[in-house]
Amino acid sequence: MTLNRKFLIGGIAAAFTSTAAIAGMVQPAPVDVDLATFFAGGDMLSARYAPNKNEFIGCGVRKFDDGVGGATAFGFCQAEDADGERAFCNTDNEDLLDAIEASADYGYVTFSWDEKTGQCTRIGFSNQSFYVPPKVGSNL
Amino acid sequence: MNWLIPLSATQTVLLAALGLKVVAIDMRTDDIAEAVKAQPTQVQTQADPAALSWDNARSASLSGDEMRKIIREEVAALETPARAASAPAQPVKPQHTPQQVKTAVTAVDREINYFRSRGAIDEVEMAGLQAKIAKLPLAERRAALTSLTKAMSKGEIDGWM
Repeated sequence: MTLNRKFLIGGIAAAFTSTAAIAGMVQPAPVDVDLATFFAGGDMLSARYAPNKNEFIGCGVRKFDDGVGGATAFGFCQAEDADGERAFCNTDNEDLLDAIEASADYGYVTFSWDEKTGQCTRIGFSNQSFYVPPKVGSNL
Repeated sequence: MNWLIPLSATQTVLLAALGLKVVAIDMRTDDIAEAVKAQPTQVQTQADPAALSWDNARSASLSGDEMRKIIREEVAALETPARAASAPAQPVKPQHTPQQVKTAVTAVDREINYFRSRGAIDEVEMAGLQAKIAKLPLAERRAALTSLTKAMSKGEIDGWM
């Protein structure tokens, strides 16, 4: 193999290596529960692969047949951070239920709650490329 | 002078025909006069909408719009009882007595306290508890969920919703 060919193969390998290393911006957001300000937030991917057994975050909706053609629904959000601080809230606010049902995989979740009632006062989702895991398909 | 006799006979025949024609015109004039006399009565009848019905309606005296109006009224009258009979009965949400509500609230509170004393709740137990909470009236439901979420936030009940 000539020297020029070695350089060529090495250059191609280096090019592939650099492509694999650059995969777009990532913005991990570990779960944070603040019991002083009644705030919780974090992205699902970071929580799922956190280096501890505590972290989780998410929201859900429960619906029950009311027997007269409708449903009784309530939603909830829950989170625990690496320090073991936990937060739960619930809601029957239809707009907040809509927000929960519009959430997507791998997103950033944040919520706040009323200390006295435990009702959710704010629910937020953010779906961004930098929360998506690096091995879910590829356009490249 | 022989032609005077046929001429006279012809004139007589023509006069007789003319007389018959005059009588016929006179009779027709009387008929028309009678019809004109009868006309105001019919117009008065049509001017009263309440008088429009199958009982006194004559096709010659009703316009197309009036006949359509009568048909619509008759059809509506026939459909109304049938529609009322065929309307599906709306399900009625059962109204619980205050005592029933109190009993249900007590049962949910007791269950939450049980899980609090045990310190944990699993997924199946949570689903059952939520189903019981969902049957409570709104105010009681909110209170129960508040109690549950507070207990979980404080770590008194270990589990997930």
